[in-house]
Amino acid sequence: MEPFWVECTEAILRQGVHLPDCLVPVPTEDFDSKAKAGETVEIPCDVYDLIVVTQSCDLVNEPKPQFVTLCPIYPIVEFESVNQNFKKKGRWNDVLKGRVSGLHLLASPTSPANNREALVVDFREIYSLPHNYLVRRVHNLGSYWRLRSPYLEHFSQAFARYFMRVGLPSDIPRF
Amino acid sequence: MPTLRKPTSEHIGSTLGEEHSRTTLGMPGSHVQATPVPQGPESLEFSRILEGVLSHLVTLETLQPYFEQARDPYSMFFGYLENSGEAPLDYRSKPPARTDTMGTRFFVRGRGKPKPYPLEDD
Repeated sequence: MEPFWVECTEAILRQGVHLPDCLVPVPTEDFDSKAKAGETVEIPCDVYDLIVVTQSCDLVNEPKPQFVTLCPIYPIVEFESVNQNFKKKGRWNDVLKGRVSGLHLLASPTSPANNREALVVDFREIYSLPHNYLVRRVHNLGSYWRLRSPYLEHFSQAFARYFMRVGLPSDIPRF
Repeated sequence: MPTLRKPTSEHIGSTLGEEHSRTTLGMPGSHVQATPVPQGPESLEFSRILEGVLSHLVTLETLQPYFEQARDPYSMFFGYLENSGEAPLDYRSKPPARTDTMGTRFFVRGRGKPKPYPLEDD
């Protein structure tokens, strides 16, 4: 099976770069009121494996963006630990065919033929992190995975399709 | 913006002129100083090299801006419409209207969990 990923070493941030163990600050809902009161605001940071969604041309050309868009990426076993319904037979096949909105499957970087080691990207969660933080992260990793073409474009298109979807108030009855 | 539509030979012709045996330096209307060039059999080789260098420079000048645009397909597409007033504009983000400083303490809560995905048929 053709690999989805290529191993990279150069510290260049591009679309489709897989960044394990990134810190994502998640402000609490009342962070503004605490700030107004002059209290020290506690900002929890969650650790996520992320994949870069921002287009490579926007990351390479000047001026560099202040923030980069990323989505969380999980091993499907980890996703199933929260979503037991995805353990049912055939459920991941629906995701594979693009029938489950907001989820996108990618083969494992190390065992592409083993579908139980596949990764799932959740487009419903979109994070913005500082560009320089991520460049430093890539640099510190030394070696990292990046999606290859045409899997990269397929991933990018899946995100675009999710983001541009239009909900209708009613629809033609099912046949 | 220079585009591919600009004929390259026109630039080379106007720069080289008809006569290749003498190269001149200076602005039009000002004092022109002749630069010595090789005579005899070397002059042909010199002209050939000079023509190559100028052609290369013209290519760089003409095509480089074009390909800089080409890195962004969206801009390239609208670049063709420069005469229609739809040319891309350089712009920067508007700075925030107000910036508040607050005391913060970041702490690592742990590994982020996947978000629940309710399915219709469950």
